[in-house]
Amino acid sequence: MLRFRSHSLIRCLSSTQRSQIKANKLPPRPKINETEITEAFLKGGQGPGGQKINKCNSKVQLKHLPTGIVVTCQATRSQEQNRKIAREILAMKVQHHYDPENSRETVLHDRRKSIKENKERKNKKKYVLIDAERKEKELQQRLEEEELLRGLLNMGIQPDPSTQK
Amino acid sequence: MPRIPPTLFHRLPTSTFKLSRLLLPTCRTLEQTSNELRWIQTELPSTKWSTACVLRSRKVPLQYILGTQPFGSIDVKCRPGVLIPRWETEEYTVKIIDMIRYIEGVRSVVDVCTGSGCVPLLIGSELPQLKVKGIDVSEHALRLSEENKQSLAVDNVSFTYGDVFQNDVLKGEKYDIVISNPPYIPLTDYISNEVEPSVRKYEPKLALVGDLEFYKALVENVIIPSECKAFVLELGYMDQVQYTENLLDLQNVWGTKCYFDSAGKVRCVVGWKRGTEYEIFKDL
Repeated sequence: MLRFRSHSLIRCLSSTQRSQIKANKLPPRPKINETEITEAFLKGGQGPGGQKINKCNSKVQLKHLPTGIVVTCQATRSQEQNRKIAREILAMKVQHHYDPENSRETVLHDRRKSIKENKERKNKKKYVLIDAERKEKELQQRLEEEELLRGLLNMGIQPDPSTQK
Repeated sequence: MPRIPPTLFHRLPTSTFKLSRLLLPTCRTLEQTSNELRWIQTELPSTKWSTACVLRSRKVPLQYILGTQPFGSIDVKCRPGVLIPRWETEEYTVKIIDMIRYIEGVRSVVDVCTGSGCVPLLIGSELPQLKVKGIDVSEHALRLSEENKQSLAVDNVSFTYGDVFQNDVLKGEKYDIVISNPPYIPLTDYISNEVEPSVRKYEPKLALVGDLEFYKALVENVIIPSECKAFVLELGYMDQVQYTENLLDLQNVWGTKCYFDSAGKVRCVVGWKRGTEYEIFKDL
């Protein structure tokens, strides 16, 4: 019960609306067929191995046989992690290769682009607003100055003739 | 070693230049430099980055700086005084685990010269029904392996002190499979340039320098008394393979083969008892 209540509380307080979550939902991560790929571990370099050398990198290279797409990954030090990440990347690329319009890569790309554009637009809007404000202020100031000058003229203050000599 | 062209320093990213310029002389390539810097930055808090890079510039192994080394599915703690697990060891250990899954009735495995305990811990965590034992002569290694066991919470693994050169190293216990990664670099090679300076400077000599005497001791004190049905001994030279094979009764009891790692180097001598299920070790 407690869990349920706390959960509902969080939902109430959350500013994200349900509709928004749905709109941002991404297509599922594509999977790769293990029979279609070859895997190689590149340890790099000639020379002795074993106890004599202490290598900390493990590069994984995957090749998708039907399309010939090759990806390498050495994002982490762990070979297992790298294998997983390489498979994810390759699956995305293969999906993009077969169906460029609806692939996860395209969706991700579009999303990133739209986020960037949104940000730029917002920024622009903000600066347009600030600019307009500043211009208005300047105009106001100029008007006030003119008013003051006109006022002085109307009061009949003439330039001093003695100073003109 | 060829000197690093100074122009390479200009090609380092400016945003991280202060740190990466320290790493470049040790890493030697831009790719490796960016990798190592990324690993340092992701695995250590930002307050320790500069110290880590200074240590690395003195060729301290990255695993000692970060404190861990991934080994299969587990992360093994590393500390100066204990050998860092190598990728070759990881490679054949994973293959051995796949073999054991195929054989019914494997109950116990022993790893002699276990060091950080990486081999027993990986086998124990992947195959919880087995009893796995790790034996080492170094106090540092035993302490670290015990720590690793605690942090990984693997219950079916135990570590004890033992010296391969003593007859009763196993204390009469029997095992189905023997694995060992003894020191196998002959002293003449250890002094030469073949051994990486970082290894010679910072990793324990006890875990590195040795030769045929270890294989003789392993056969006489471990393989034969344990009545094992298969063994895998890591090594680095062809004459060590031949020497080990000559110590065994190849005619009637043992089948052996030489295992090459994926870099194409001779890495293990593998043995199995003829006429048993363990013959699939010939496919290692």
